[in-house]
Amino acid sequence: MRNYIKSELYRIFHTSEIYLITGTLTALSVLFNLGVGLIKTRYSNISFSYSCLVANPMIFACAGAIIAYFLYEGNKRNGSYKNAVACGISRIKIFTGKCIVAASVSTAVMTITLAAWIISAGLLLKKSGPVHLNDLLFEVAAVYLIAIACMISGILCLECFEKNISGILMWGAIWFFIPKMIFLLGMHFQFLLPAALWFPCNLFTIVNGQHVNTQECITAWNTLEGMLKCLISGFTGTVLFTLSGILLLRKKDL
Amino acid sequence: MNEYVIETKHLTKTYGSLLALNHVNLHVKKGSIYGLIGDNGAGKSTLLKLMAGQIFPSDGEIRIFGKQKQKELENTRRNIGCMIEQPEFFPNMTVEKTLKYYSIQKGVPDTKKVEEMMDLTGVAGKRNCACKTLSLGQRQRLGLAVALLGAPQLLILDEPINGLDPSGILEFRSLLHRLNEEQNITILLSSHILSELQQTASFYGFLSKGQLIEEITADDLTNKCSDCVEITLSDIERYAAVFEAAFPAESWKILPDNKIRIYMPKQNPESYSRLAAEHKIYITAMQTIHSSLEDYYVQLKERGTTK
Repeated sequence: MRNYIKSELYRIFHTSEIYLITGTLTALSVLFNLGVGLIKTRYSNISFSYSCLVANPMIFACAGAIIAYFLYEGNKRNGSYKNAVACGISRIKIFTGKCIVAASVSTAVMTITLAAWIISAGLLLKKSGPVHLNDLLFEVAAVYLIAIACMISGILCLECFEKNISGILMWGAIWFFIPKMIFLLGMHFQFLLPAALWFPCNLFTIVNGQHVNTQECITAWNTLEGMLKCLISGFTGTVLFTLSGILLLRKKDL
Repeated sequence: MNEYVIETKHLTKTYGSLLALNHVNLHVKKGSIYGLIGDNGAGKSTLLKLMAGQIFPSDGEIRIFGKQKQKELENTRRNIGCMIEQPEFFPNMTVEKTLKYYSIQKGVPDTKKVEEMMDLTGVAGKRNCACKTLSLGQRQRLGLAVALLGAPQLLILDEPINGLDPSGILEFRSLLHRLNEEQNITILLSSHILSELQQTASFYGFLSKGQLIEEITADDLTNKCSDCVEITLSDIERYAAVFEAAFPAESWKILPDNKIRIYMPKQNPESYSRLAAEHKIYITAMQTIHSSLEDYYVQLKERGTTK
């Protein structure tokens, strides 16, 4: 598996895509803050900039999955999966290797992007409002495992389906459609509601106490209980999707 | 020690209700060049994919270098170089980087190997070209270079000369012979270009409709192909009837223009002309033909169909 991971890292850092993604995300971060700074409104402050991320933690989860998609969407088309199997690398090692590589690369890309966001906000916007850097940094800690789970499920969906679009739809269903359906059912059948609130896309809603705007910043992770809930949800998802990948891909024909 | 590098027992593969391979018993000897022959859809690629571990058998056994269990097979596959179906690569990666990528994956520490493989397969001139700009023939060469990284003991090549130009085919053939003779690499290759296989392989396996209908050495095949008598007669139908009765053991076929072809004749040609004379059928021409691998394959398939 070590050789597989090394080869994948070689590939990623010796092709232009990863630099293009990182550059684009970094540029967008800076441009966003520049735009907010140039348009002089009551939102032209650091708090508003941070709140865009703090109020929408699923952005991080989706970003992880999007980077994984860019890294592995052409996997079947360019024959690398088949060649790796023919080299004697087991499907489980390939899947695990991909998850490790995607997690490391996504973490690096998101660190750079986030740094660009924070630095550009600090340089271009004035300091006021209820959302602080601490809220953003704690959000990263709370959401990290959820983003990893999101990314692993993304890789799994791409591997399981012949067509990428089917994988994307399934991924969307797992992370958004099904949890929202359970949540809506939970409104009518109360016994479903506690379970529904463990799904990440419901976890960061007003029902779970999250309330971020220009006046206040109450996040789902600003209590110990809330933070634990985020971590447990992310950890469970990571374990669940990793095991599912191992089980589903172990004997899959290519 | 097992003399076979690859051995399968009742290897079967189904895709839903489609039976792609049916109880295939394949034997590839160490040091041989084994040519797998079959029409499109005969099951050649399925069989090679099973060897490469890309798909799993529905039933039966695969032994590679005597190893049979999945874990052992995975380890054994490190000694195999594969090129199955059309080789595809990362479109934006250069030829050199693609080879480096696979050399890292195969755990080849020596970076000189990449240079060596590029020179050997003739892609050195394209080292800085992105893979998406390569022609089919160049991709085949790169596929072979990837397969040869890591000094494999067995090469599995599916339709390797597809897309190669005539000089490329000659180079490829001599390369395979060199690898086989100098490095004792066993080669299993499939092709539907039989004339090419005839000049390369030392063993043949004939696949038809998912079944391995015959395995034969090149020497036996040469013997079997050597004698073929073709007779042109005045009344082919009557001659066929009397011929069938007189020589039931012979293998023959009626051709257009009142011709009959007798494969691997067991009688002296005089017997055939005497038979014609006895029944007052005139022979207008008679010749001995050296039949090709194509003829043999067609005959074999027909025999398989009539069975």
